Amino acid sequence: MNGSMDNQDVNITVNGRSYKRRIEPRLLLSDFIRHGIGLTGTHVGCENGVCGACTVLLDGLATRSCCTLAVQADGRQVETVESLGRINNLSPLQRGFWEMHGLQCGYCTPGMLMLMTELLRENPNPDRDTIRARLNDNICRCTGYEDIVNSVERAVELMRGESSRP
Amino acid sequence: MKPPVFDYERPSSLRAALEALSRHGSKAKLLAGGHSLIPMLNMRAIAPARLIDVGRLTELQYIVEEYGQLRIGALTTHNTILRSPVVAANCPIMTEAYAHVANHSIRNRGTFGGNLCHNDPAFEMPLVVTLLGATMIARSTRSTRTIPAERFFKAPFVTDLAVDEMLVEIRVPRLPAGHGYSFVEISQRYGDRALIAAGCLLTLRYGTCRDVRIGFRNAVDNVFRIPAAEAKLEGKAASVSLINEAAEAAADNIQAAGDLHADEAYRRDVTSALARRMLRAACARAGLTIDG
Repeated sequence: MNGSMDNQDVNITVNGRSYKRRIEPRLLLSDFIRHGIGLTGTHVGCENGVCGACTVLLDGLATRSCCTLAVQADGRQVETVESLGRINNLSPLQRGFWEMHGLQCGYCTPGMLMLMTELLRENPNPDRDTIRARLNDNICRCTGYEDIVNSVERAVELMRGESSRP
Repeated sequence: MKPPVFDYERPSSLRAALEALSRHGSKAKLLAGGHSLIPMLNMRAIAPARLIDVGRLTELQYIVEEYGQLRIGALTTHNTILRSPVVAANCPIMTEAYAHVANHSIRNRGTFGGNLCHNDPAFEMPLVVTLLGATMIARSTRSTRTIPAERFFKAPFVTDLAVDEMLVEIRVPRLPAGHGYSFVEISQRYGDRALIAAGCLLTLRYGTCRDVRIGFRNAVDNVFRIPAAEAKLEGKAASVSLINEAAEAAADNIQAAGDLHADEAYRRDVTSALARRMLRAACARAGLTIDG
């Protein structure tokens, strides 16, 4: 980040923690998350809004962070994949992906998880068609999607049993 | 794939935004949802000296039904309109067309006004507002101007707006209850850019079609209504043969366009197939089932 006069002061809350930074206006939200604060769970795929790998939640709404400037998130709440479970305490959605082989290379997975987090908050009991329709947003080049749909259905079962949190 | 350097400001009111636009005019771009603009910046397709961020101007986010029309604020997001019961009740073609606009995540951020001002020739909403006979309200520090939709979309990626003008509102006249409508599209993947997008509106009066509006987008040119296709049905009792004639007229008269994704012959075929499909659907919705 160069010391241009036009850099902007921002305060962006990521996963509940507030980050105050002085940034170039052209900094993408995806790069703010990865390089600015070092949360590398959010992946960058196409950088033109096609693939959805960089999906995060911005004020609760699934958003392509590569098509969003970090300054647009000033004063707002961002949630990334790091806000879900931990390696020894997976969230129901992550557990669903693990049990049902919802990933192979894993590149699209953080975006898939955040996209489905929004869906399961809106609708904790989506049918298969609803899951498939929403998955239209993001591209996976490994799984052929069937296992991802199965993973989300498994997460729905797990949420019914354990807790209502995706 | 990173945006070039630009100056940035976020005016706190419409008035301040219009003042900024009048100061910086041709060197500035308005930033609304950003989901067309930022990819273009990422690809260095454009390099504006300044972005004026109007994305938080809640004064331009509304859907109001009054005096026989819908008034929609330019910064209303796609998903807000797609989910609006007021829009579904008064303007069902818009709800039907919105199911084809990009995908859910993009519709969370993209705005109605931003989409119209971008006027990508594959976008659905410029066609929808043209079919509906909507009026665009443009403001600048100098004036407020009303522009009929059919004069607003000048060329692919070009509108009638002057450099200091901002689209602030879209006014959609209410159509008669029970009118027929349909919006259909062929794209390579659901939600992807349309190869051909097609919409129609009509009203049945004593069994004859009135106020027939038939339009297309071909993803390449600035195509909208096709009067030769409309004339085949206007004032006549709809039938299989007339619908087929209208579909052939549409295919014959649509601007020929070939690109990487579809050649000219394929686009003409798709135009005719979509025309038949949507005209049958619109007639059925207006209460006339076409057999055969």
